[in-house]
This record gives sequence, C-alpha cells and structure tokens, in this order.
Amino acid sequence: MSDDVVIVGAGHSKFGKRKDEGIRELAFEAVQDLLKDFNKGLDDIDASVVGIAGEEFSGQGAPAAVVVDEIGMAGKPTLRVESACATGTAGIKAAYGWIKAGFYDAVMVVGVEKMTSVSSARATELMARAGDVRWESPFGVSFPGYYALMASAHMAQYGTTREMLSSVGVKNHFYGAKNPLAHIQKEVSLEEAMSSIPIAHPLNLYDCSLISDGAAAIVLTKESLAKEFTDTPIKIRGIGSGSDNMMMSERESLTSLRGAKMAAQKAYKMAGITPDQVDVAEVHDCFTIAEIIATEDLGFFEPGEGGKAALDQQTYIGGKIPVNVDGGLKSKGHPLGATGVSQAVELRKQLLGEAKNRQVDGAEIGLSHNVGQTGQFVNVMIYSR
Amino acid sequence: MSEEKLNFGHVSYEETYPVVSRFSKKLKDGRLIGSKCSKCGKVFLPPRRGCNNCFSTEMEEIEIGTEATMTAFTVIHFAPESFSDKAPYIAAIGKFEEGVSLLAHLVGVTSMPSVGMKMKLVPQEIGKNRIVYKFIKA
Ligand SMILES: [Zn+2]
Repeated sequence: MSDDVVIVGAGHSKFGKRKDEGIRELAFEAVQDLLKDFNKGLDDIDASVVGIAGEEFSGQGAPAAVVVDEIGMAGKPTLRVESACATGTAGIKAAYGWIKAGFYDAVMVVGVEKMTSVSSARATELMARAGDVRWESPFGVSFPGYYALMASAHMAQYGTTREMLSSVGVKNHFYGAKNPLAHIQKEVSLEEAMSSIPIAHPLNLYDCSLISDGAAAIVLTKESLAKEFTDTPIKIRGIGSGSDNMMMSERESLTSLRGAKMAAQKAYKMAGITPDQVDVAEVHDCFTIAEIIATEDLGFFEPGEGGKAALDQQTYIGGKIPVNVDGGLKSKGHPLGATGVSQAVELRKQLLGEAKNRQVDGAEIGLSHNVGQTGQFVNVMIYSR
Repeated sequence: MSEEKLNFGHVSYEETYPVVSRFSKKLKDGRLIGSKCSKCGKVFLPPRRGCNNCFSTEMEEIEIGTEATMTAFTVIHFAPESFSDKAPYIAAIGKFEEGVSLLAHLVGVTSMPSVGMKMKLVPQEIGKNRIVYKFIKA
C-alpha cells in the first residue's frame, strides 16, 4: 500500500500591512504559530522548501536563505520555489515529491512575501512585468488589466454582469470579517463594491485582491509516521498542475484557464473524486472574475454560470459549494508566496472543524486552486481528513 | 557595422533583440509581419526566431492583414508606475483574419468600446528610435 503524504502541522501569520516586519519576521511568526500544537521540534524536520515570488519587494537577493536561517532550519537541505502567485502550492508539491522519492521523512514548507514596502504604483509595475515584457507589458497592462481583459470576454460571451463580479467581493469580505488573520476584516455592501473606484475597467477596487505582507507554513510527512507528529493528520489526496501561453493574445480561450481545467482533472482523478464531493474550496480570487472562472474551471458550475451562481449566493456556506470562507485573496490578503500555503492552512482548519464561525459543517474534502500570473502556473490540491 | 535598433513599445523592459528590431522596421513601413514555419506551417504573430512546434529556424515572413475584431478590452485607470502619466488608456486584443491576435492600445474612441467591434492596426512612431502599433476604430 502506498504511503500517503500528510500535513502534520500548520501555522499562519497575520496578513496585512505589516510595517514592522520583513520576510524574516513574517516567516518566523508563521513557524512560531505552527510549533504551538506540534508534538515534535524542529530537530525532527529534515529539510525545508521556501516559497517567495519576487525579491524586488523585499530587497534581499536569494531571499530564501535568510528565511531558512531565521526559522532555525539553516544547515539542512533547502530549496526556493517560484511560480508567481502559485508559488505556495509549488512548494507543497516539491516537498511532496521529496517525501515520495524517499529523500526526507519530514519537510517544512514556508511561503512568505513582503509587498507593502514599495508604493502601490511600484508594486503594480513589478507585477505587470509578469506579463510578456516584449510584446504585452510595453502597453502598460497592469495585472488587474489582464484579468479585466478576461472579464470583458466573459461578460460578452455569457452575459456576466458587474453586479455578479461585485457579489464575489461582497462574499469574500463577509467571511474575511470573521477571520482574525485577514488583512481587511470589514464587510462591504454590494452598493459600496459596485461604486468603488475603477482600477481596470470592468474591475473596481473591490474586484481586486490586496497587496499584503504575510507568511504561512506547514509540515509534511508520510502517513506511516504521522502519529509521531500529531493526532490529526490531513491527507494530500490529489495534486494536478497545468500552464498556459505567455501572451494573453495567444490564448485559446479568454473565458477559462486551460491550465486550471487540466490541473483540476488531474487532481480529481488522483484523488478519485468528482467536483460534487468537494465540501469546501479555496480558489485563487486575485480578482473577482478569477473566482467566477475558477468555479467553472473546477467543475462546480457550468461554463458561463459562475457569475450567476455567485450572485445567487451558491458559494456561501449553505450554498452548493462554499468558496473562500476565510476571506480569500480579496479580504484575507494575497502575499504572493504565502497564498498557496495559506490555502492549505485554512483547509486543514476546516477539515479539523477548527474554523469557528466560518466552519463548513462536517467538511471532509477540501480543494485548493492556486494560479500564478494569469494562468501560466496552476496547481490544484485536494486534501481530506 | 551594426545597424541602429528600432525599439518597440511605449517602454522597454528588455534589450531590443534583432527579431524585434526587424519587426519594428517593417512596421515603420506600415507592414505587419509575422513568421511562418517553413517546416510545419505554424504562424506566429509577433514573429519568433524559431518554431516552438518543430524547432525549425527556417521561418518565412508573412504579411498579416491589419483588420481585426476585438475579443477583449480594458480601460486601465490605475497604471503601472511607468505609465502613471498616461492613464486612463484602453488596451484591447484584436483577432486578425489569419487567426492570430495582438494586444495594443485602442485610441480615438469617444464612448466605451465593446467586444466584437471592428478595428484596424496602425503604426505609431514615438520619437526617432521607437515605434509601437495601436488599434483605431475601423
Ligand atoms: Zn514548425
């Protein structure tokens, strides 16, 4: 029988504008949180994977090394991963592979990003460079701009409305207000969301995720060793990945991410489940349109029905599929390298019944959908008790 | 003797390599030139030096018609730092009859554009050493 890979520890820093903390302090905070209910010590962890999307934000070159030192893992094997905003899940996948290959028994994955030390215009510039710098970034298309292009195509093809887009932001703020680790813990009305300032038409301020600082950490091991670390391991049941063309103008579709569809199919197959068996989902809502497209690509709703489903509150707790009930990237925040790991930490809480006033009752299977850039990197992970 | 480079784009984030400079010079003459793999026939716009399908570097130049249909657009209000003084501006993707598409600014429209509208791609020189293309309403 194969030995599954399991999560046996998880920690999460506060997300937000953390002006007194750099990548070191943020990573430290996440690992400190992880060690609170961990039966073992750092000595029992063999290696680390550090996910950081960009060094331009923090100023530190080869930034994984300072993180590894700060969290007491210097001297042990380590690796930095970068897959833009899908960095966190890329780190989990790398650690999963190491354990499956028999290199190490227990691996820590830390995802961290410090983003608020530069101005919003500067951060927008740095992220815009994740577009094709030869042929598309020279037109000043911001990161929201690329998703706005997709939104315009989705609206034209399926009749998705501004109100549907805004309803995603309203939901994510509703749940973010209940998450003490979220960047902005504040509810927003549909009217406020719809009338907020335009960023990249048709996307407004409340359609865009936050520029945040933060870190998250998990420890993975083999199921056969899990009991030494915790009484409540969470299994990684499925992992699927995909990618897409670099240029938006070369994409076969502007209303769907082909990499996400491929990743979802692979992850469902590996886990041996269908979309309707997922109890709670964390999807990459870097923009409201991204959440709508995600719920379609993942098979929760038919293509073109995601917007309507959001407006009908089908993605709230009690709806067809609760999505981003921790606030998502929109309200919890989106420190690039931390996001995929944060999704794992949140799903573990849900599957252990520890999510308090945003708990999905009896959740047994959780799905995480993590997208880098505008679909050039995608990982879908399926976790279960 | 090295030829003078013609840069492409409102700004440059990388070196202007020969494949870009050659494209830019033809654009200056009002011609939109893509590349077609001599071996497998795959068409690229903008051009590439090699084919990512069969790895041949025998690429023919092919002229692409400049009439396009809009497949997506956005109005950038909050711009990246190097475009701060230009906002708001419209970026659109237009699909040409040959089946290939490009992203460019759409200029000269007075009301909100809509997906499906007909556009035309035209060159726009920016100073002596720089050129870009833009969409205008057809
Ligand atoms: Zn070829």
